[in-house]
Amino acid sequence: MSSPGGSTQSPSKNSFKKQLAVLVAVAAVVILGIAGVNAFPTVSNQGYAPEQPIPFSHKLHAGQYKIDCLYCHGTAEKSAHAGVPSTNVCMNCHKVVKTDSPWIQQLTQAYNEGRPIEWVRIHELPDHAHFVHSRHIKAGVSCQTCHGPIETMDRVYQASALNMGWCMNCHRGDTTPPNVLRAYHPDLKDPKGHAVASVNCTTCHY
Amino acid sequence: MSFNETKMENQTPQSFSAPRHWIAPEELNSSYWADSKNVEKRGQEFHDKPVEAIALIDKLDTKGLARREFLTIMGASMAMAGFACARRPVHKIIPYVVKPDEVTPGIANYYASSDPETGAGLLVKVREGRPVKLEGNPDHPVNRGKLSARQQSAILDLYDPERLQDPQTVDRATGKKSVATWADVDARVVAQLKAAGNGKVRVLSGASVSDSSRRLVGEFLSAFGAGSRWVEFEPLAQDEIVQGQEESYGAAVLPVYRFDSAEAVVSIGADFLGTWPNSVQYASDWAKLRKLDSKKSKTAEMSKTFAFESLMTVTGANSDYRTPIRPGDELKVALALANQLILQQGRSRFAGDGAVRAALESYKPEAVAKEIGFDAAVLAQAADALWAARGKGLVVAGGLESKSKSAVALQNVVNLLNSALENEGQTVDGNAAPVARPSAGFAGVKQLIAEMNAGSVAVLVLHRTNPAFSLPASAGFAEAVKKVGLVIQVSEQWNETSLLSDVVLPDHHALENWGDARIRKGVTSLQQPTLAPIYATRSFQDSLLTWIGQGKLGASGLAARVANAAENTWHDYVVANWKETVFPLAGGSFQAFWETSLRDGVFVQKGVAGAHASARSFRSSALAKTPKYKAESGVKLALYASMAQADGRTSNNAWLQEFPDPISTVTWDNFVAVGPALAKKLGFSANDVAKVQVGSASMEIPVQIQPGMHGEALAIAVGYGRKVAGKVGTGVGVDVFPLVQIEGDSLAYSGLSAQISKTGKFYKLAETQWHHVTENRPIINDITLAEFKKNPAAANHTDPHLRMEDVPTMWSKHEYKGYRWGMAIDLNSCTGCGACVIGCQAENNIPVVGRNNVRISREMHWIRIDRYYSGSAESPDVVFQPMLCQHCENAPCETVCPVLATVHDDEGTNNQVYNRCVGTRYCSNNCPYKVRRFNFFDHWKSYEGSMNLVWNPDVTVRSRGIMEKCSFCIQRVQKARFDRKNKGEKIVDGDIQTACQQTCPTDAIVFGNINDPESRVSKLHADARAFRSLEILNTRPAISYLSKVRNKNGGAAQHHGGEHHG
Amino acid sequence: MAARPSTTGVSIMADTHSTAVHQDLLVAGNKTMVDVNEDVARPLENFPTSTWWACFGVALAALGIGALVVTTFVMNGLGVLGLNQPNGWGIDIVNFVFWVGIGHAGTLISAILFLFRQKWRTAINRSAEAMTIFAVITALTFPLLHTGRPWLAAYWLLPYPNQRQLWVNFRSPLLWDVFAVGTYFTVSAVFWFVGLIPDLASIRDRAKNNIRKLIFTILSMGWRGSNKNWAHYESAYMILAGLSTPLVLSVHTIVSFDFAVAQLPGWHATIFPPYFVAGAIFSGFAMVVTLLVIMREAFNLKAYITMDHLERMNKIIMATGLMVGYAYACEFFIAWYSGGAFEKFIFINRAFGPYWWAYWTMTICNAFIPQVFWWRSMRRSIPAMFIVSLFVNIGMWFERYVIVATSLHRDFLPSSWGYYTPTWFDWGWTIGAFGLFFVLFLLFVRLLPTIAMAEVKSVMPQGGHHE
Repeated sequence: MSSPGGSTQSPSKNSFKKQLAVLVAVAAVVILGIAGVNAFPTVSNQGYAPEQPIPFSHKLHAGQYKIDCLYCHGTAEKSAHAGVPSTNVCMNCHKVVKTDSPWIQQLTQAYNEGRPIEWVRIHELPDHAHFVHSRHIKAGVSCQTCHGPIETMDRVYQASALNMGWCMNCHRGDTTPPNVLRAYHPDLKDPKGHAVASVNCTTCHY
Repeated sequence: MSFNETKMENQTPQSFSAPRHWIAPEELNSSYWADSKNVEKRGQEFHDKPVEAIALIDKLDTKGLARREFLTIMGASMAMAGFACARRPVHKIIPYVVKPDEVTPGIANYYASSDPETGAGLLVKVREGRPVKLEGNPDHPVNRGKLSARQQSAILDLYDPERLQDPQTVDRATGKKSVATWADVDARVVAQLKAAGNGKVRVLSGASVSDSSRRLVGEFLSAFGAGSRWVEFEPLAQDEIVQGQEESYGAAVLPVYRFDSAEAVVSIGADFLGTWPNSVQYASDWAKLRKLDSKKSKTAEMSKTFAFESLMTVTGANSDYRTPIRPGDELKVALALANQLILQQGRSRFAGDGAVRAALESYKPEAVAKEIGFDAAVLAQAADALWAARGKGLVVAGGLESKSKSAVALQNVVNLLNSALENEGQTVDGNAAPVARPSAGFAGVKQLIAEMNAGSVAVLVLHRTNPAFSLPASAGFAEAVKKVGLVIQVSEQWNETSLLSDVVLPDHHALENWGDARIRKGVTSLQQPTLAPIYATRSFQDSLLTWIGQGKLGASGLAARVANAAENTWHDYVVANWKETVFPLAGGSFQAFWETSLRDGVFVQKGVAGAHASARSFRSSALAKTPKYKAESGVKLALYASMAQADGRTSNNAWLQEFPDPISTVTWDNFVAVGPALAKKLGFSANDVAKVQVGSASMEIPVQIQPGMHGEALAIAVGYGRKVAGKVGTGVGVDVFPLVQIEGDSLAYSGLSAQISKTGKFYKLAETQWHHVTENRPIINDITLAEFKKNPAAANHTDPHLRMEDVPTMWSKHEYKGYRWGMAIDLNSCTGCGACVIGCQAENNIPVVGRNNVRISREMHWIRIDRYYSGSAESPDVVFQPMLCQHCENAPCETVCPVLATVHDDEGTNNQVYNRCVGTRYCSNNCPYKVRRFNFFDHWKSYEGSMNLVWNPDVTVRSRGIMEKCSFCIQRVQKARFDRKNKGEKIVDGDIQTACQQTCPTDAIVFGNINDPESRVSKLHADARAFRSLEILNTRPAISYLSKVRNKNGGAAQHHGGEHHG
Repeated sequence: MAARPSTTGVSIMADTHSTAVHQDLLVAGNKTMVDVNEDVARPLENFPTSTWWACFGVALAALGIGALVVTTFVMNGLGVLGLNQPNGWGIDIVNFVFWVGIGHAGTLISAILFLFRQKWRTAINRSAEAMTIFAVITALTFPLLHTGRPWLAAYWLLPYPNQRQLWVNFRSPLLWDVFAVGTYFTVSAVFWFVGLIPDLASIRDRAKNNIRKLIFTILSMGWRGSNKNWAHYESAYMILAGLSTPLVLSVHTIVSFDFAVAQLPGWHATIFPPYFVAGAIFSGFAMVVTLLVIMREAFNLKAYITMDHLERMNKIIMATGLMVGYAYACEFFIAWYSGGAFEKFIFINRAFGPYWWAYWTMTICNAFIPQVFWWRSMRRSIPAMFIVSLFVNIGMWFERYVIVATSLHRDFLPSSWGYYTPTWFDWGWTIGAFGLFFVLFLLFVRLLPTIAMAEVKSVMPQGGHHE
């Protein structure tokens, strides 16, 4: 707003600009704030790659030697938990394989002492979210769909966000692997007519 | 279900006190387990280490054994909810070193076992080596997969952090206790046992149903010469029945009653549906004859039940004709009934019997009825009904509340009636009882006390008994025991009697121990441990064997062989005993037999179990002692066992303390029940504190005004007022055992002349229900059988305009493409016993809130039993209605939640999403059934230390500030779904049993898929008796109730209004 | 500078073609325009009086108690309050509705009376608007803090795109509240601030102290009093008045939906919206009277807040009181006439059940006591109106208590009937709310012009005669 005889720079103009600046600043903070809540999802540890007590390499075992995931994570087909193998599973091979490696020696020692290996947990859902491995495997979801290119990882990291929106994308049929849709949910259809997995709250929360 | 028994079988000798699957060698010595840190590690296999949770729990100053799985992240997410973008704490995964074959993390194993108290068959649900729930063993012919509230809550005792954890030595003079090692106490005990003279050792224990234990104790005592006896004592023993049987028929047995063929039942002070030891079986039998099918309403038949009782019991509440009497009047009523039947109506073969006539003559029905104050017609009706159904009727008496000084005489008259009515050998089976056993009555203890006073007892071993609490002081146990050289108590808990003992040895919990049980001829069940002992405990039987072995005491028979063998554990003893005594009945290879029995949990001997009974002949001489009729007056007191507390041995169990009494709905206290008439007369109002005096003993106790009690009757529950029980149980309620009177060789709990007076004090009882009539609202239906026959839908409040199907609605109707879950509850079968309440509590991680929170109605139970009275306050009709989330189709809660934390899913259930809930409580305000429960505090924190191991890993533990409610056991639905889907199949009817349905003794609750027209539940929904609570609100619940039908004469369904007891 | 205020008078007159009737009534005691500035600015420019400090101290202490209580239950759980299973809501919601109600008078006075050219409003509208805003702030603390997990409720109640891909429940009246009260607060705040600008400028120009000059320079947004300024000001003020008028009706209508939309007997009633709005204005005006009576004594503004102003207020109080009384009667009639068993029960239970005392307190304070204003002497007696206004405030608080507590404690299933007793924490929280309100209000009278100088001048003889 300029005054009729507004040749001189009136104090009001400055103070008004000040005001405008302040307002803009406030607005910016608010918008960034809201964005931030979504930009840094509080339940996602994506990229988390902690050091493990023994530097077990999936790249070597799963990638190079092509050992089937279920050889070690056997309960994944049967149970909710994929599970970390008990030491005796490692020893099946390492009684004889690579026994000269200091790590394997550590492993063997722990095994003989009956001392469990305390692995650092990477993939972790909140307790109020029940994820059932067996269902997803039976439905044809590959391990990599959620765990990323695990066979290329020397040190395992959390490849996916594992937050709710990420789950929903798949269950709503947006990012679902096609084989899964065809094979396993003939009866469930979304408005667009292609099949989806259940999105009831109690599918996961109970 | 995967039953696995082989690991049990191949136990290493010393491993009874170590985990079945060891992960570290040092675990094999029991001291390792004394260190709670190690136990914690053990509990932790395959769970993450909850930095949060441990911190939380440490803050609560509970030691060790923090539960791992969900609390962790619950804590974490709470924290993160608070400070967004907080980095998650590092959690560890600690796998097995050698994973046991049968353990699959995340999948429960079920092991069959049995309850050493009652012999009921158990299924123990075990997750990663830790029992989390007790259910009934469906293969067990006695309890058939059902458990009572008390039996289910035993799991909580297992994890009670206040359990005895090490051997203690007590200085009897000062009562000072100090921890000892097993070696020391064993040495001391063995020395004393050796020193004890001939015949100077006694074992005093609760009644035992275990043949192996009986044999072991017998053999142990044989080492100390004749006179060394085993004394059994149970405060709640039904010894009067046993004694009556002996006098009437010659054999001291506890007969088995066949309610499933009893078309007319007369109960004279017998609470066979509630507090009797086998109430679960009897309730399910009794209910079989109460089931109705509306399609065949014209020809519907239903049993008729008469109750004469001095207080309102579950049995009376469920009977068709209930007559309030004074405590101690039971004998008179029985005789009057016999008089009516045999003399007045001249029926039965005893009509001419002189002895019988002599006994009955003076008990004229009119006179007795007039004295007690009821209409003599009811006696005639009862007599007619019984006679009409002779051979298929039943008269029962017995139980604490009818245990007056004439209790045995009462039994004899009842036996006379059953014989006269030809029920003997039909509905009364004197042969089904296992071998005759000592009656566990007072006589034995009385003699023991005398012997102790005479100084003829050197060593006294106490096991599973608490005489210092449950015997009246006048019995003089405390004084007598002072004269005993060494008193050894083997107990799970530190209790009143521990203070009188020299050595207190921590006993295994039943779930940590081996054993067996025989409560029927031909039915022998096995008890097997389902987890390694949590503490440095040792079973009573192992102690005996250890002493025999160490002391070379020269016990006879098997005990000697086992004790001196390389493998000398109680487990080996049980196996050996089975090999000798049970296996011969089966044949085949023993290994196979043993593994089968272990898997099934029970061995049933074909042809013997449930064989047809043979009638025994009644001896009229038994009536000789019957007194002549004499009118009495004055207020009489009955002591009774409450459903929750029984004799008070479990008073440290928080679930049971907070279990609402089915009749009074009072929790956390006992009280003196006073009838409305008497209360009016004495000017009592609810929650006044009264002074009750019996003889010299007296006590102050709050008043509960109980409709349906006689004008001269008082009733108080025993088992409260424990002085030494633990954080939970100590000082809850008032101890009334001191009021018990000694009558010769037995104890009189009832018919005690009492004075009651006001104290002017006030004490608010923690009731869960404050208003007891329905105010004629469309909540429940009840009709008479006659009305039902005319029109099964007679009482349905359902407004035809509000039929679920065709009401116009502003909402678009929900679509249920796949399943639609629903439930049907038969009010005619529900006895209100409350087993479902505890079943639900165990399954769904429902915490306790404590007395004060119950007082201001904050209890958390997801399912509650509403109890309504109708008719007159003096003699009301009673209806029980299990009330839980109705999973409405038009759910009022769903529309008002601002954050969509409660929503309808596509299978018809109403979901509560804990993690989304912010706790506005609007949903609860808008719920017409008020079945939603709000966490006003972090109630889960009431589970201390080891108690956290009882949480069900499949159900989230709820934090403060959020709403919760019945989920239709969604976790069970999900499990069934996954199991089927993994096989590419659909869920079929019967796959899913909700926790409440699973344990309901009378099968009143049915859950299933309403979309499947063949499912039981949809058939029941279609039944003409089906109605929905408050249907007029058009909430369209997924739960249908089936009207209650009373088999009594008289007009339309009682109205449920009435002003009394508002 | 000194001339500027006088121009204000002119320009106002130019816009509002009013023949200044009863001007002698509106400003008493031959005040000059300078006097107006002097009188109104005095509290701002002088060091606060001991009276002010005393009041402020008390208010601050009350606020402290509230803060303590809130911290306790946010840390330990709502269990410390008296809430229970049937009574999911208690004093928390009572206070919320009460304060929102208080908030009504402000906008009514400033907006509606402005549109109706009720000149007498000029003396009181400023403080009435301030009261509105502070009352709404106070009210807002309750629904937020009474939730079980306020740290989540704070933002989960807002519809914003999030990683959960979840939205709020637009069917829930609680959500409508968030929008309704939010809007009401925003508009009232802007309205109030715009109204302040000319006076802020006057203060700026009078300011001797530099800091004050700076602050008021920023606040007055470069107001120069030019005709253009006035033109924009007038239209803005007019538009905002138009905007806020419907809000006066909408806010409490929607707040009443919290109850009316639920199916609980005693809540589920179509009469609620009008009944709540009337009640809100009723309590709002009572609160204004309470405050004005104190203010004109404390700051010697008798000349501006005249007896005529107060009498007009009292007339409105009596009128709305009658409406509320009618609503009470109507509820009972409908309960009987509808024949609904639950409805019947709940209202009988209200009057004669365990909460009879609350019900009769409400009826007497709201329906009967205001009747004294039939007498002119009463309408014009300071002590009388002060006492009546206090009673009305109490009565209206109890009205909400009756609605919330008695309806909940005995609903459909007798088995779940209970009773609600507030604990000391509930009362502490209530006290804290009053503390918060008065702290804000006292700061306002200390720091801002409590009377719209510009507008007052417009209704003064001098202002009138400029042409």
